Amino acid sequence: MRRENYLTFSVLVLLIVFILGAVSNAIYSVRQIDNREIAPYIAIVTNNLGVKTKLVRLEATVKEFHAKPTESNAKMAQRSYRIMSASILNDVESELTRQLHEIHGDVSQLEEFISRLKGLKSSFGSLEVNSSNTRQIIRTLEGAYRFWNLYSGEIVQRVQAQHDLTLSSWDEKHTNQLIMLIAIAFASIAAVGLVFAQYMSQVRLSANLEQQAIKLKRAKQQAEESAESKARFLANMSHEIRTPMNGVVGMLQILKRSQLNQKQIDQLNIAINSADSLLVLINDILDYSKIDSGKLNIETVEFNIHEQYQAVIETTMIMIPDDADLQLKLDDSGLEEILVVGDPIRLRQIVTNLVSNAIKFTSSGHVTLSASLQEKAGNGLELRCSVQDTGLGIEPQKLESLFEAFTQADDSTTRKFGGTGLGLSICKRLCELMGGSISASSEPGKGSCFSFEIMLEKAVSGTESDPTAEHVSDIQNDSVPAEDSLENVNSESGSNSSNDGANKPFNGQHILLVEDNKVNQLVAQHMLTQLGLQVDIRANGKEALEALNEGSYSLILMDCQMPEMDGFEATQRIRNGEAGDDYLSTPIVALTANAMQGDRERCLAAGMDDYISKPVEAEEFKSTLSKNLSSVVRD
Amino acid sequence: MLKLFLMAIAILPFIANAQNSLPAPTGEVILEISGNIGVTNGEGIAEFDRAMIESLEQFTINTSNHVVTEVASYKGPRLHDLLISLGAKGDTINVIAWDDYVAKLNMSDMLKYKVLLATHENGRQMTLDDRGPFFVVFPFTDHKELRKGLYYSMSVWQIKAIEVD
Repeated sequence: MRRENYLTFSVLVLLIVFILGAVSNAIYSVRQIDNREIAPYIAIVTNNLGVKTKLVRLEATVKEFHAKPTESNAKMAQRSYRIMSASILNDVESELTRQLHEIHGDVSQLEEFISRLKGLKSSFGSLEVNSSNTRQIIRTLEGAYRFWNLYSGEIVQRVQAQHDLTLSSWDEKHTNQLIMLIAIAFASIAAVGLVFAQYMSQVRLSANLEQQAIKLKRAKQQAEESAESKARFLANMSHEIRTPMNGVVGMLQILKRSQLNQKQIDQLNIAINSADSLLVLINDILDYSKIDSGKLNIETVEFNIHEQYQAVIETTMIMIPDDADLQLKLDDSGLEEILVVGDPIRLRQIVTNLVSNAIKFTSSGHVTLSASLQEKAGNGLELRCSVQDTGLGIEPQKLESLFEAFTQADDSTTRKFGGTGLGLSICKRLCELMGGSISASSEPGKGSCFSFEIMLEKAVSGTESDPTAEHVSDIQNDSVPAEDSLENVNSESGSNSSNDGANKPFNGQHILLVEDNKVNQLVAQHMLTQLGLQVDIRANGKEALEALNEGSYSLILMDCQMPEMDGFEATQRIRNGEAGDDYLSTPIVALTANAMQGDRERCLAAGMDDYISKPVEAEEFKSTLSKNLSSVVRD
Repeated sequence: MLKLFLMAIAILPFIANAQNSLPAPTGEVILEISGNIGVTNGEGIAEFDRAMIESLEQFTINTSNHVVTEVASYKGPRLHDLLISLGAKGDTINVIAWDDYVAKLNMSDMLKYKVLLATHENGRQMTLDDRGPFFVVFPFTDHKELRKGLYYSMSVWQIKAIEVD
């Protein structure tokens, strides 16, 4: 809290305490006035005067009888005594009167007066025409009168004094209350003023805040825009880098097949490894920017998890140095026969990333990839997967940021092990895109465990006759560790044998390559020739149609983006019979530079049979072509 | 319709006569009501003996008051009923006691609080030696708002006469 706020708060609390105090004081004093015995001044005076009049009137009847002692006057006097004494006694004998006299007078004197009055009863009872006690009665009445006059006079005076006291006390209380009221009023105004001032400053503050929020929003928008344009730039650049890289890799591979001495082979291997690493980096960056801009879609095709994982194990196995005491295990028992629906490529990407990371950071022991499936509501399946290693491990404080983009467990890691730092971030995003999550646990020095789960669906067919599965198994069967392949090629080029049947499985078959980029033409031509194929090259769809009408080809490799007529249109025309009936079902394999989601569908929709993403690798060429040409070979 | 009207005119004098006439007291007169009244049995005056008072409808109020601390049962005719039966027109009356005490009462108060002209206290007939022959009784016990000097001063005892304003 700011200091002035604190001050305001304290003042407000003081004011409220004061108001509460003043109000309770006022209430108390009002109650005091309420409870105070109101001096019964009027009642006392009335009483006093009433008794005196009644005594005088009674005395008058007795005097009348004394002057004229007749029977009727005697009766009159007797009746008057009955009336006046009863009336006086009603008054003075009542509880109320007794209480008043207890407070302001003397009850014994009151009783003295009552007994004097009552004492006259027998005298009045025996009043007769020739009574001799009339003087006595008159004297007694006069005595009672004097007695009452003195006594009640004193009471009246005392009550008067008490009354004055009460009045002045009321006055005092009223003044006090008035002062309190005024104080309460001022305190209330001050409190309200204070609250209002606070409110106004709050209003100013929130107005400022609002302006700042607007500014911040604008700044955020600008930052986002610039980030977006950067991401776009990054994606474009990566893409642009891939095309020349394609040339570099292709040319390096061509170069490798020529006759070289050991020093040159070593240098070339370094160049090829560097180029491969660069491609991995570019692919990472492309993936990340695609995910970041929400352009990455998850496919839904049928596949077999076991086959995918087997392939991962095989391709990552080559990363383990020959002299390392490191075992790579796969534990996915029960998944061999199950077909699921999901995105096998992205799943493989995640697992490959995790396994290759584990291998990178584990010098000895084992890396275990385990997987299990759990049924979920409806048609859902949850794939739980973990990669456990016995490697370096990760510090607990670094675990949290592990999945954030551009971070690695340690900056030194980058220097030692390389990588973009995007791999785990991409894994995390992919897991999330597939309705799951990823987490890591680790004990430094003992190893790490990366676990993820993603949502899949049960395959409708549920059998192994799935085309994707076949395709995957083909790739798997044909996939040979790259090192081996390179060695093969090396030995092949080293022996300079040009017609080895084992290395040239497609001996003599004629295929048409439709590609506009000169470098790609060169790379592809070389690879295809190495595979024992005869290649004719055309630069666009229009030329391709002409070539097809003239020659005879068992397969067409079709680039998608070309000038004049692109691959999609050319394929459609071929399938429509524009190149002749011979080509209605000839395999057409797409060559696509950007392996974007949807390209595959677009290719298949146009009538193509398969696709290969660029930059083209010798192995991929071999497997895809063998799949699409196998029947021809058998013929 | 006309027949009915004629009948009403024929009956009217009897009603008026019945209203104007009050039987003369046969015993000792214990209450005189005078002033603005329509029913009399004397020269502008209505006189009552005990039998006439007792022939009126009797009511009871249980209450304490300024001179009787314990709740007592008071019995007697309703003051308002009595005055209305005498065709009293005024809004106020003066109640006069044997000791010459006078208090002014409102007709509306009498109606509202069903004030008694009590003759009996706890079943005993009141006399000049206490609060008799008549005592104005307000229901103090049931009505807190009555417990004030003003209503106590209206509780006249030893009533001798009433003057209707």
